Parts: sequence; C-alpha cells; structure tokens
Amino acid sequence: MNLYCVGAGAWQAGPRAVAGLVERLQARGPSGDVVLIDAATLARDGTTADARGEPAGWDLVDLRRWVHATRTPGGTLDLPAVRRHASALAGAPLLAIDARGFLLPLVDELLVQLRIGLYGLAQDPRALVLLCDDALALEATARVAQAFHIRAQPLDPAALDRLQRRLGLRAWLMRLGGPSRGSGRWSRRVQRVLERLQRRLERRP
Amino acid sequence: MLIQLVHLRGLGYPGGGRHQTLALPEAAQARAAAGATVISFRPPARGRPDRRLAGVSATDRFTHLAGDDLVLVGLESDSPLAPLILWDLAHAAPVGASLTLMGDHLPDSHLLRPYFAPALQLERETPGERVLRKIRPLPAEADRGLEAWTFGIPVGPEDATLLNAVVRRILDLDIPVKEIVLCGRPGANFAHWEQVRIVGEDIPAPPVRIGAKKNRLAQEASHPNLCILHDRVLLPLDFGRAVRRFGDDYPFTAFQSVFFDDRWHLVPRRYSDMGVSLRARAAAAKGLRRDNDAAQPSAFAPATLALTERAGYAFAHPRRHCADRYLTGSLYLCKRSVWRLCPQDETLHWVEFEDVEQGLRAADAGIPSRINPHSLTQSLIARPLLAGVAGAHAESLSGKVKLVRPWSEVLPLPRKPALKATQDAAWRALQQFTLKYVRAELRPPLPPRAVLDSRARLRHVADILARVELRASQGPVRAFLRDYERWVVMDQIPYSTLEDLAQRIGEAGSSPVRALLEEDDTLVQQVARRPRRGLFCRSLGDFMQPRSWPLAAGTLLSGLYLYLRRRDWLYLDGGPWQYAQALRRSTPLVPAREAAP
Repeated sequence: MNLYCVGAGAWQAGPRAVAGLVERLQARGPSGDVVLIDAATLARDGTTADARGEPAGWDLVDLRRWVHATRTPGGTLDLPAVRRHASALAGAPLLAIDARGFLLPLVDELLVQLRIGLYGLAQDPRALVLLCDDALALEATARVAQAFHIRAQPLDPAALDRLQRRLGLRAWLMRLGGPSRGSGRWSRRVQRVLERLQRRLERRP
Repeated sequence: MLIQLVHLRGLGYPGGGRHQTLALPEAAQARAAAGATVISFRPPARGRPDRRLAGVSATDRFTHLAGDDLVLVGLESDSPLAPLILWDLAHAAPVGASLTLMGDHLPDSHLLRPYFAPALQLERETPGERVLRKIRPLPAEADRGLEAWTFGIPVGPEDATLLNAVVRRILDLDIPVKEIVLCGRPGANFAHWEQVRIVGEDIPAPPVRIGAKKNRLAQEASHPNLCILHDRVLLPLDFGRAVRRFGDDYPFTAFQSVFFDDRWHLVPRRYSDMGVSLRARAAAAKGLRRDNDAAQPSAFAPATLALTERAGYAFAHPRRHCADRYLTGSLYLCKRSVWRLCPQDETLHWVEFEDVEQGLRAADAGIPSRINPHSLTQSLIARPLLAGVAGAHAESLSGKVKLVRPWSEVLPLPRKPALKATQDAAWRALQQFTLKYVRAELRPPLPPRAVLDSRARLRHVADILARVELRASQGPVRAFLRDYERWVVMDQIPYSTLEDLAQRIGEAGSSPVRALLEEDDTLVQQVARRPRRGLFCRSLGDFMQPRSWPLAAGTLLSGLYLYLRRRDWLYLDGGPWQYAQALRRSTPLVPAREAAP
C-alpha cells in the first residue's frame, strides 16, 4: 500500500495535478514509504488551469461524514463507520480522505481505526491519500508513516545495554524464584524489590 | 466373599468408616453369603468383611478379585477409581460371568460405554440394580499375553542421533519377541536399518500429521502389545519386568517420565507422561475440525486451539484418577486392538492437543488412561514450553495443583543443552530471519556469539527486532510471528501467546521489541534456563552423558530425593533404592565405542 500525505495548499492549487502526480508515483509499484506532496512540490511540477477540477475516479471521503460535532473543539469519530469503510477496501485502487480542518488527535484516531479496519484484509488498497492542513502536514506524514507499518527504529548501544540488563535481571529472578512469585503481600514485596532494582539499573550510565 | 476396598488416605477420597459412607445393603451381604464376590468401598452393616484391601489407589490392579458372579456395590458413586476397577474386573471375569451393579443410581454406568457394549449384555435392570452378562471376550482380551511387542516410533527426516539411542535401547530390552516399526524415513545417519520396518512414507509433511502416523503404526503392528513412543523417550532396561509386574489387559498406559536438566542427574524434572485438565472437557468454544464435519464441532479444532489451551493443564498424579486424564503423546502402552478402537484424530496435527482429545474421547468410550508404577522412562530432550524453568504445574497426591521444582534447580551444575538445535543451525536460522525482515542497509552484524552467549543473544535479537520492517496487517504479522517462532525462539510459542502477539503488533501497533521481548517471557525464559551459555548443542550427542562417578552419585541422590517427594512429584512402587535403580536403568548413556577416546 502506497501512502501519500497532501497539504491543503497543494490540493487547492490543483486536485487534478495532485492526482496526476500520485498516478506517476504509483507507477513505481508498491512501497511502504509515505510521500508528502506540498504546494511547493506541485509548483515545481507546473500546475495548469485545467488541473484545478476534481480528480476523476477517486474515492474521496470527506472526514466530516465520519465526525459527530461536539461542544468541545474537534468532534468525535464514528468508529464503526471508519472501520466498516476500511474493511471493504480489499484491493481498491485508492482511498483518499479529506481531513482538512481537523486537529491532529482526530487524525491520529482516524489512522488507528483505519489500521484496525484494514488489519484483516487479504489485499491492501493500492494507495491511501490523506489531505490535511498545511500546518499539520509534516506531523501527519510522520503519523501516517507509523500507522500502517512496523518501522525500523534501531536502538543505540546504550539502550541495548539497558534492555539486555533489564531482561537479564528478569531471567535471573525467574531462575531464582520462578514466574510465580507467590501471592498477596509477598508477591507485592517481591514486585517492589524488582521495580527498585530495575530503576537503579536504568539510572546507570 | 465380601471384599471391602479402602482408599489410600492421602488421596482425600471418601474413607471406609461407617460414618463416612453408607453401609452395605443387606441384599449384597446375602449375595456374598450365597457365594458371589461382593466388592465395595462400603463397610458391612454388621460384622467384618472377609477381606479388606486398604490403601487402594490408581496404581493398583484389581484383576485378582474377579469371579464368575461379581456384585459391585456403589463403586461408581463411592470412588473416582471406579473406571480402573471396573476395567480390570470386566477383563478378568470369564465369559459367561455375571456382573451385578448395585447401589449406583447413575443412568450411564461405566460398563455400558461403547468399549464394553459388544461384550457385556444388560440382562436385567431394576431401580438400583443392573445385571450384566459377559457374552464374549472384550477387545483387549483378543490380544492377551505380554511376550510379544511392537514398538512404533513416528519419525522425520532430521538428524537420527537420538533415534539411534532410542532404537538401540529397544533392542536391549528384556522382551523375547519384538519388532520395531518406524513411521516415516529417518535421517541419513540412522544406524539400525536392518532391525526396523519402515511404514507410512506416503504420509505428507509438513505439517506433521502425528495422529495419522501413530494410527498407521497401530495398523501395521504385528504383535498384540503396542508401545508407541517418540524418538526422545528412552525406555527402562527392565521394561519387560515392569510390564509383567503390572499385568495384562491394561488400558492406555504409560510410565512416568523424567528429564534431567544437568549432566550429573541432580536436577530432575517430571516431563510429559500423563496430564490432567479439568476444564478442557467443559470448553464451550468450539470450531469445526479440518474435515469440516458439521455434525461434530469440537473444542480441539484449529480455530479454537488458542482458547482450548487456556483450559489449564498439569501433570497428573499417578495414584489419582478421573476422566480428565490423558497420556501426553510421547509414550503409549496399549493393546493393538484398543488403539484401533480409539485411534487418534487424524485431522489434528502435531502440538494441536491430539493427545488430550484422544485421552478424553477414550475415557468417554470406557478406556481409562493410567500409569505403570514399576519403572520410568527418561526423556532425552525437553521442550522448554513443557518444562518451565521455575518448575511445572503438577497435581499432588491430595489433588492440589501446584508449581513444583527440585531444590537443585538454581545450582550452578553442568547442564545439558536447553534446545534441540545445534549452534550452527541456530546461527543460520537467526541470519535467515534477519535477511527476511531487515533491509540490507539496516542489517546489523551477526557474530556467532549471538547464539553462543545467552545474554548476547538477547541483545542481538533486540537489535534485529528493532530494525524489522513490516506491514502491520494480519497476513504479514502472522507470517512474521511464525518465522520468529521457528528461526529465533526455535521452540513452540503457545497458541494463545501467538494470538495475543498478533493482536498487539498488528492491531495495537506495538513495536516488536516491546511485544516480543519486554512484554513476553519466551526468550527471557530461555536465558533463565541458561544464563551464560549452553542454550544450543554442538551436536545432538550432547544430550547423552558418559558413565562417571558424579553421574552415579547424582542418580543415587535424586533417587532418594524423589522418594522423599513421592507424595507430590513422582510415584514408583518401591523404596529409594527402587527409585535410584529406575533412574539408572533409564539413563541415556553415550554408547561405549563413542565414549572411548
């Protein structure tokens, strides 16, 4: 599934131009990367007057369809509606969601629900495009990148050392007393000692 | 003759005193006076029984009590041991004998179950009394005699080092007539081609169709007594003596099994012989088996294995009995005809509870599972999943399930390898995992230390998992977990854990490091087992040890220790010397010519 994040400025400059660019990018084949398309990208591409119309053949969902207004800013997401829509997308060519005007927490929630909806599909949709406000585009791109894939996040040697020590300690305690640490007060006491040891280990440089 | 049975006190079953149970009815006493053999746990209303058998438990046989006219009073109501007693009495009774069941008001007597139905005819039934006539021999009686045995071993094409030890041991047994049948073709280093018969090469694998293999072994058996065992079970040298002492006409039977984690026999663990699960039978969540037979949804269906696994399983105490017992699949002693009547479900594959399913189904059909207490076997290897580092859940003599482990578990003794995989294979597997899931430019170096040193292994695995890239959807996540199981853990991960991990990584978006290392104990348990090194073997021969003084001393000490813990751990019929001898006779020793320098 190819992922795209489109800034509001780029969309306003020319939805058809965005669609054309997405189509060209789709020609690379499947990739897990997220491509951010902002107004500058589109400007470099050279937008023409006829590129301003609605793109043809796009399943463009206005996020307002899935949001119930509330007294507090932001609104609440219609979770079943999002999941239902996502779970019917097996092998679809493209899903575009217009999230312009919505805050990041709601976009986050949307991505979580989309991931759950898409989880069981035998075949992913070929592309997912998220339209959002320019101010949020960068952050939204990072969230989209993490939403549907497990990403490599290499640990530095110090973090690996800490993890190794922590797990080694757990193994040592397991060898001494077993995973069952008794019950009631004794169990709580052992747990406290374990946590204290763990904190001390983690404080080490 | 009036025989009163009294349970072994420690079992916690009803006692035989007049205040603890009902008195024997007058009618039963009259039958005893008229020459019938009356057997009951109930005391006579007046006078004394002709014979009182105290300390009765599930390891006792009752064939010597049989007669032509048997009256069994309240056995099924009074004792959980009734299926064993009725099995023995029904087999020992001659054709034409009458069996009268009195005092049990249950609609489904054990003797009316399918196994007994063709041989025992219901002659008369009145409230509180059933009279059955034995009109023909029972199926197991068709295979009488203990002289001729078929030993059947399901095998695969992998390294045959352990299989060689198992077959060599069978050839050394004190059994006059025997044959060894292998289901499947063993690895190229198998050393006993002339002494075995190979069958079932047409059974496809993977997945391992263990049920089909065992059933084929039973079909191909030429001798009446069948011993189906896995290629890691070392039978005791006094196997013949032990089965003759136990007696003929036995149902599904096994020896208890021990695995020594160390090389000096000081860290014994009970390992995979007979289990009990009180909740497996009650499972309401069912699915369709692989044959999609809509008439028989089962809790042992592939779709519900993760739920069935939660039923709770423990090693069963050999002196107790209930219908929820099953032999754990690694050793079955039974009559060929009995297995053919109750074969394993061929729709279930390896580690899909095929043993539990068969055990419970057999108990429902009237065939109990039990232990022969006159010897024991040793397992050459132990799967970490079944032999917890902190001990195993085992039922005590009184029926409590508790975590038991030997005192010596924490001692720094020379240990056997923890996993049945060579260091080289483990290293290659870890590389394969890295190649598949880590992009070339992110791949970390993977020195051999990553499998030789346990803590370094943790660190390297964490480093690899942190670099994994994966689409977080069902198919890729499950494939990833399967590969993690076979290439990194190199052992089975429980079904319910796999489901939980798939949910956490796929749906909840948890990172593999967090889900697989920080929140799951599978790899940590392996480090707990071998904190420094020795997780993998150099060759499979590492699981056997040469004769040595520390080994002999350790065997003696463990014999004494196990004898002292016999109430809760492992029961053999005899004293500490018998325990030590049983351990000695089942020890996997390096063959003499290999041990020589």
